[in-house]
Amino acid sequence: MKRRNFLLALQAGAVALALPKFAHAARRRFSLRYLRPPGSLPEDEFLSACIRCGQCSEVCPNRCIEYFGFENGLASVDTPYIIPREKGCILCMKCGDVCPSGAIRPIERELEPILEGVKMGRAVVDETLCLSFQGKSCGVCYRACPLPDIAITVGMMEQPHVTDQCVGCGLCERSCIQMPQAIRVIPNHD
Amino acid sequence: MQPRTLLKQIAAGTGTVCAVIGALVWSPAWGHHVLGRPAYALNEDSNTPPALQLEVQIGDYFVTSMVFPAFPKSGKPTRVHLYARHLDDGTPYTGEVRFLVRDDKWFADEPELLGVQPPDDYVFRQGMVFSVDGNYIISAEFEANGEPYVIDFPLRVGRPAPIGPLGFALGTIIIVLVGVSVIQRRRLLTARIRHEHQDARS
Amino acid sequence: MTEAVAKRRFFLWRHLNKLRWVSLTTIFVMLIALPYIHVYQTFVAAHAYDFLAPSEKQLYDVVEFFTAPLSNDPAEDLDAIKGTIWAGTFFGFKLSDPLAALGQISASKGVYLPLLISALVPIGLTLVFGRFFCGWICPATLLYELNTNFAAILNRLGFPMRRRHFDRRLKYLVLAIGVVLAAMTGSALMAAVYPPAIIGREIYYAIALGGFGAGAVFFVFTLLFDLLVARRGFCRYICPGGALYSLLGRYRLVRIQRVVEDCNDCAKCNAVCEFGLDPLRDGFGQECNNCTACIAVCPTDALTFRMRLQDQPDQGPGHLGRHYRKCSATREAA
Repeated sequence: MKRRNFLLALQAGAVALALPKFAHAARRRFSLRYLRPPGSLPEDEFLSACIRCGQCSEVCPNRCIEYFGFENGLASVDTPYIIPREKGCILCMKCGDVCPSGAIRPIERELEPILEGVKMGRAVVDETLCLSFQGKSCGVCYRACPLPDIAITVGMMEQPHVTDQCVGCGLCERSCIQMPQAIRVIPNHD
Repeated sequence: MQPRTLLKQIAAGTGTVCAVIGALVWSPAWGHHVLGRPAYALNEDSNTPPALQLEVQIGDYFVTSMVFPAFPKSGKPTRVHLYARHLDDGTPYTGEVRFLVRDDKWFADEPELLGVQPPDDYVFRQGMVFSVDGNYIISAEFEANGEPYVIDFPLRVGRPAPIGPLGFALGTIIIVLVGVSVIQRRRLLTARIRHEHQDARS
Repeated sequence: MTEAVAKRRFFLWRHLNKLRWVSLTTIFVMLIALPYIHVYQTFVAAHAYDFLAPSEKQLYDVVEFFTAPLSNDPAEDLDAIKGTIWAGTFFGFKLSDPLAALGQISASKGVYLPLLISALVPIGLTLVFGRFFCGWICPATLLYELNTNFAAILNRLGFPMRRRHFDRRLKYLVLAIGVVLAAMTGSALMAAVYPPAIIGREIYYAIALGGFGAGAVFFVFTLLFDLLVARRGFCRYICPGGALYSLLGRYRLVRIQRVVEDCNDCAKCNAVCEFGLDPLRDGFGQECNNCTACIAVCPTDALTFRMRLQDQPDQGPGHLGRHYRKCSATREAA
């Protein structure tokens, strides 16, 4: 129920946009913010390589990989995605091992190969929302990061600073205690 | 004691402490988050209940809206948070936001006004308590640069039916198919053969 | 007559049809069990037993009971069998449907060797046994055959079902269109209309991700099509995977053939044939999936397996039948 409910919510937002009454407000196209599993090919190549077998989710120990219906267009029906606020990727790299199609490349679960090969996205801190930037020391995102001091560093008052090494796993976004979250992963696949 | 040895001792002591702290900090067991350790977000009763989120790009704004908890129950306090950020310069919206609620059906009654909220640290927060389980749509309305913005957010209050209509239909089909085949297995073969022969004749 | 009795066919062939049902059922049960095992594995990996809801605890206990003898470390050991009939992992060995490989090749206009290799085992088996996948493995076949039974019962109860016939070559057209569309859109579209892929996926969605998707609706429509329009219509006329397997199995080695000396022209074989073939007149062709239903129903054991690359031409009426006797009587009289 959980995931379907969530996507329904996204669709409903799109429906609201499509209503003629508000058409003048909908100047820009509505788009989903989602990540592909770690090690995925660039979006176009991914879509043509993926055979929609569903094994990546079936090995995911965190159950963070879900599948599209028609929300994201016909071409990506049944392809895997991750919504980091729901559940982040724990970088276990099992999906790349099991993928038969090469759409998700196998990557060794070591620091170097992960930094080299995983480019899901990059976290961005919204300083107007972040508690640490408002003078309430927090640091939860830093503690959630699987690559602390490599992908994210903290300054005064535990203010987070994301580095270029961020792989975009989304665990920081998942753990952010601000609602809505002050740190978001901007996907890399567009 | 000579000041030199004291200095040496202090240096050695500090060094040892630093080494111990360093070892603790750098050993993998001390890591903030061990690679591969799953996040706990299993259900509404787990220790970190998730929030239901809607992200939408509408007009000039990128709007994030959230409901907490993600599995609201009737009679329990529920909150909606809304945050709108300008797409071009990233400035947050700071006017007022009206929150309305209506039933999620084809011919819904007039929406009920929940409240008009000013921003609190750029986030608009609306609290509410639902008295009856059901499907609702929460609308947030605001105006910026003379343009109206409406964001709809469907919300299920209370536990949903464990099996949806599609699941129910499929379950029924499979039960009927298996049941018929098992109960009628003797007659089936003759029925099929007769059926086919009738077909061939006609 | 005595000669025919002496040449009785190998007795086990009659019972292969039962084995086939066991195979289909086992595969279907596995497709239901694997998602539950996966959900259990995620609970184990999260060390979260205390946070589970009562129903989830129940699931945990049941799966643990069944899998505990098989594994010491469920989070890792139970990864041994993953996936569906479309593409799966079996103790580190990957298997994929040839249609998946073909779809990827046409969509990406390139060859990814590991995927092609994983499709080699099914391709090899199909070259020998023909379209056996459709009768012995495909999880949709189980439901489609039950659906045929249901149609027969409805017919018996006085609700005649329509049984239209189309050109069987239609499915090759579907396959060709699928390949062309995949090349044009750059996306393996055939996975969305291929019932075995749909069933595996939808069962997983329903159990692990909390709801059926669009594929389930499509599958229900194929069931209705089979019930109301044409018997086994989807497999006979539309299925792109069936088309590919038929083409691969055209020169299969293992074939069901009629022994004309034993045949009495009862035509039960034609009646039970799910694919609407014509065993009575030796019309098997590339469509036969070696399902052995005709062998099981034959009252005189006149159907058996033969190793040859082509069907025999029509052998005329069966020697035990009325027609042949009449003919031979006139021949003797002449």
